[in-house]
Amino acid sequence: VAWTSANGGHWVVTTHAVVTEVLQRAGDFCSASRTDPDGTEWGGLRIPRREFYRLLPGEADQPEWNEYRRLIGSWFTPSAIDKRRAAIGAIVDDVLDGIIERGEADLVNDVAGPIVASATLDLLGFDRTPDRQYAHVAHLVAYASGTELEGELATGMPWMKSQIEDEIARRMTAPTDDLTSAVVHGSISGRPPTREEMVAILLQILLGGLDTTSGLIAYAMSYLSEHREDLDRLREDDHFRRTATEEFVRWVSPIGAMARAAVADVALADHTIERRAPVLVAFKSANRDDAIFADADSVQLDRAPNPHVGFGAGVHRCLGSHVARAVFQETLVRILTRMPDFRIDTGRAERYPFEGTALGYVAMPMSFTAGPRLHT
Amino acid sequence: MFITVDADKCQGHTQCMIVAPELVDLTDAGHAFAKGDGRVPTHLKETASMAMHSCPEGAIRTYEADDEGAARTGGTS
Repeated sequence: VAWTSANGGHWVVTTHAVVTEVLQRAGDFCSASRTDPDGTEWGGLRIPRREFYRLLPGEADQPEWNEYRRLIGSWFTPSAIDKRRAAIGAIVDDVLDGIIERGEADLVNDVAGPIVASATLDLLGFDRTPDRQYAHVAHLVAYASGTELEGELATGMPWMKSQIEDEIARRMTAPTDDLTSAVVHGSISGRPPTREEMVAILLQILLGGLDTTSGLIAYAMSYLSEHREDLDRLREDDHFRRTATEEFVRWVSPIGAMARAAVADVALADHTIERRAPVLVAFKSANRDDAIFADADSVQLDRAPNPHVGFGAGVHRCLGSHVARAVFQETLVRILTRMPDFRIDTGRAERYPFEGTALGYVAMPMSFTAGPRLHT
Repeated sequence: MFITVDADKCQGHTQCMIVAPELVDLTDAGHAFAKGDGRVPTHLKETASMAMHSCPEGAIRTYEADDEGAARTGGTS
């Protein structure tokens, strides 16, 4: 627990124990943006605070949080996602069909981005045609602020929002049995959700899932390209694939950190965190805590137990974690099966120019022996 | 030995299902609970310990039969 004067001043918590404690004490450390009677704005998930589109339920506190989470929670349970595994696998195969005859591709923009976007759009029931554009905008959100790509982000986000509003408008008049219809025709404390709430919920699902899972795939594939001794086992051993998935989430921590704010003067470890003070919760640091993880900086694909907080902790624990796992595993097994000699050109791979809270790659060249499409 | 899952603390990480599917299962909502009466067969004591250490929330405890009160109030065996 330490104070830094950077970015206007905030606390930082880094150990597994304290990171978990802050996340679990959601009544003391809030996620929502708040405004005091004197007009002072504070709270929120970003340090420094910046205006952005509202995301729900991430930027809500109890009791409102309960309502938002209840509205969509059943779509993201392990059993609900297990039922979607075959559909996710089909999406992966479709995307791989698009590159398999070429013998080379960009793992981020041709593989991971389209797969994750398509799987998420499919879950929402959205039109999947612009999957690459969704992936591109989600990546821009992660790293474009303050770069020469800021202008592209400034048009990309309104585009994504208008896509969402079009999808909402279609469900208003013609409901279907998809997740978006469940949001549009759902109930928040006995009333229909407002249009703003619908957008915030759907935007959270899109932005929460796209960039993170794609970053996870990129980091993992880059690692596996250089460490090939476990590839056969990863392809064939389902249990090993599960422990490996958790280890990659721990080691990569695609969301490296997120903020909370103290709702009152509260005690934390030996400190008093003053009301309104932001607290940066460093998931990635907690996931490298040597007190919890033996040889924490090393990747051990059979690591177990693995109590990582790569998906956060407490009530805000990543709603999409089971989707992320399924997409990651279905992607991994198909790449290892259909392009077993894949190589990542790590020298030409390009990391995000700015890795603030989200980690990932802008581009990652990969090569492999060309193979046949599954579908023509 | 017994194993117990604190339903108020469990957030559905499902890490315990990876290391101890013999001892825990999931509700439809994806939250863990101890199978049966939570009794841990002798040969699964190590597995129960793995389950306890797998939970990021600290929701899983193990305790001996004569130590139930301590376990319920947060002590560990």
